[in-house]
Amino acid sequence: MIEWLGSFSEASARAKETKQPIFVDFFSPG
Amino acid sequence: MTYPDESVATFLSENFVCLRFNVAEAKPEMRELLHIAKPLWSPTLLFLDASRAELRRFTGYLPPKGFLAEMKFVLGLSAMLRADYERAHRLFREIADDKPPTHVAPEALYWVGSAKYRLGGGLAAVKPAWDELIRRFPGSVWALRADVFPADGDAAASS
Repeated sequence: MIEWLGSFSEASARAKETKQPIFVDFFSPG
Repeated sequence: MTYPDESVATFLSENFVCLRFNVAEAKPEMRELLHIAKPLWSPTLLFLDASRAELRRFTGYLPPKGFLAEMKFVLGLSAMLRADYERAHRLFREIADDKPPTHVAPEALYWVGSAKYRLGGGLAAVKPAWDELIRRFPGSVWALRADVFPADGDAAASS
């Protein structure tokens, strides 16, 4: 199960902690 | 949709910090990201290093195998940024050896050469990978970019 974080700041903090890259999916609904 | 594919979902969740952004909404917590990313179309898939440097992006759908190759390639670039050239080389080599080859294979071979250079092999270490790239994918833009060594084998490319 993919954990989708709620904000860029949260993702940045997690990435610094884990040293993992950030993946962002910009999507349109429908 | 690619995410219902279990192999893609697993690889994403194990190797990346994941964000989804509905471009129809204007959430304040995503404003900085929009400023950095400036997506022109959706879906746009963006990969950033932990330092927020852009590693790669692509627009539109990819089938699972191609998407997995793109993700592995991003991990290779991330490893290059962190000077982990052994890991980078291994990742790029895995993509290059995948059968049948994905669309990322030519570029991955180019970066196999780059990683070998960074591992201290100099230009002589680059040439075998770039020769393989030219031989296997002669019509690719990466073959054009790698075609810098004279036929006699002496390196013409400057470091």
